[in-house]
Amino acid sequence: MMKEWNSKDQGNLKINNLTIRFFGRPILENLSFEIEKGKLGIVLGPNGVGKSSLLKAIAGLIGAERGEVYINGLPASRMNQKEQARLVSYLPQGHPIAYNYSVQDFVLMGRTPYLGVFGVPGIKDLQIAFEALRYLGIPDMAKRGYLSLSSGERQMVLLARSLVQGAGIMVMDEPTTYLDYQRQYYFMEKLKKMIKKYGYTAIVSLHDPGLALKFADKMILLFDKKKLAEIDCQSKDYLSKFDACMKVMYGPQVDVRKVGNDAAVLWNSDK
Amino acid sequence: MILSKRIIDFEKRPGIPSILWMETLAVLLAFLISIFSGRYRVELIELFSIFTFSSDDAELQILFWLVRLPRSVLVLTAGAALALAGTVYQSVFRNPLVSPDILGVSSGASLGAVLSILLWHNTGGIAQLASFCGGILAVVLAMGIVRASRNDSTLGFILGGVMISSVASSLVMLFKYFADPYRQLPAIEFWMMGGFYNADWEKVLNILPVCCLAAISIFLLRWQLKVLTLGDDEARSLGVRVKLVRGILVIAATALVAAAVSVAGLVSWVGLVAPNIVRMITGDTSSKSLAASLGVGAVILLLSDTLARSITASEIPISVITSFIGAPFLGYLLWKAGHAL
Repeated sequence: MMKEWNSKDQGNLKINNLTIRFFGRPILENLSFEIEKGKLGIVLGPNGVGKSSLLKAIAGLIGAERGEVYINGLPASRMNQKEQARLVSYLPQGHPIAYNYSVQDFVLMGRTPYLGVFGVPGIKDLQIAFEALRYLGIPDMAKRGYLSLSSGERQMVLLARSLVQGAGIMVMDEPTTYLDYQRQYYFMEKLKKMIKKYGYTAIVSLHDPGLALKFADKMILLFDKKKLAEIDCQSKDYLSKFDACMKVMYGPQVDVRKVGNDAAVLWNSDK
Repeated sequence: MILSKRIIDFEKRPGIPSILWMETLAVLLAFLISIFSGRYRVELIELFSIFTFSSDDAELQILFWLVRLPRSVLVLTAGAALALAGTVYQSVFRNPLVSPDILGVSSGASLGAVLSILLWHNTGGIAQLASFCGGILAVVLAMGIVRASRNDSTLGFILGGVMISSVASSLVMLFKYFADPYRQLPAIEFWMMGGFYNADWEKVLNILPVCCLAAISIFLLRWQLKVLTLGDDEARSLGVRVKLVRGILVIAATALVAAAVSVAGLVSWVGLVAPNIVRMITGDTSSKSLAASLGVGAVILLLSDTLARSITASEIPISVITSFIGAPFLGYLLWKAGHAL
């Protein structure tokens, strides 16, 4: 059953020379990077740098001025909405939900790309939804109303929805923003385990450099409408590189230091 | 095995089918009340003889078949149509306080009816057709404005609707100013007040096909409608062709309202209140809210119509009744929303 929502296609994401404009105003220019299958890519950058625009472009929600997003090596601009929805899932930044659907229905909405326009999810989709809820350890939530859930529970439900969508590439725009300290780490741990297990690829925007350091396989740092750097977290000198970038992005007060096998991000007010 | 049993538990949605059964019963009851109340008393015992055309009372026979029954059927259809349209509008615009008038269907329909009264001195079939077309046209224009302004957010739609509504209303006012105050003006006012006093089978047959077609399209698109309530970006990322689906749903819902308005004039509040009552009954977690809204709308309008023609010697406009029920209910909803925060 797991195979049902296990993406059969590889989840390779490649961005080539992407330029995004908003009413003629440049947002991002000549952006290129690649995230390999099974990796967690994290996008960092100051407010308004275009993280959300980049993620929306990957999900096919806004068009690019120039350049192309390649999904599994295929240009996304030639895909229709439904094809893309089977390959890329998207969680927007803080989304106001108007109606109190049950968690079950909410997760089932992840099956929409596999339904015809007049289709309604069937028993098979329900089994898939249930499997996802079980995998995330929240099957008891199925009957509860989405609006009655806490922020942490809601993010888990959204994760379940992305899972049943079966898309090899998961795009998430600041999924940890409304979570407390513990749940931010818990969410990222779940996400990382999930993509390892199913061979998914994730691209996630965050604000917390510490969180990014802990979980990223690759970091895309955006600054001043451009890619400042692309850091492979397996490389030897990645900490010093990250430190230099943080200082450019957020000022000389930021200090990235090695602490045992881990790293910490510090803020020095004196500098 | 344990898994499959739990899945079956999971699938069962206790309460929802029983709600639909209860609703069917309520609709039936309201329908019977509607048929049996009125100036001319019809006894329950006579029902059998009426249905077998064996009643001695020919007047009763005619009254039942040509006055009472078509009226109740028309009221039921209009109530269900308005409520279904309200549910669709509230879902598409992701706001439980939206009424189907928001894109200007009522003002467009009024303008159509006024034009027909002024130009063809007609309050019958032509007025009906003109108001139906006026309602649809208003919404199509509003959507055209949204398209032209390239701002297809919810706010864009609402502003487009406000523009069209106010232009149509001011045209209605202008035409009323030039209307013949002894013949046309009363006809216009009468039309605008709304009511089912001149219901007949012809009206039922005129709107039933449109209503059925629109309702079937809405039911076929029910899952897409549900996903649409997540917002444009999320719906698109789930593979929904937002513009197309939203366009079809809005047009279908508009056709329902225009059909109801074309036979009954302006009937306020039902489209806003009924979906909220459904949400209160089903606790919002149901996927059967479309079906449930049909029944709630029918019951509200059947009872309102019965009241409208029985509380005073002469019939009062139905909007008076629906407004007296609807406005306090909206206040209650606002109060509840305020307390939920």
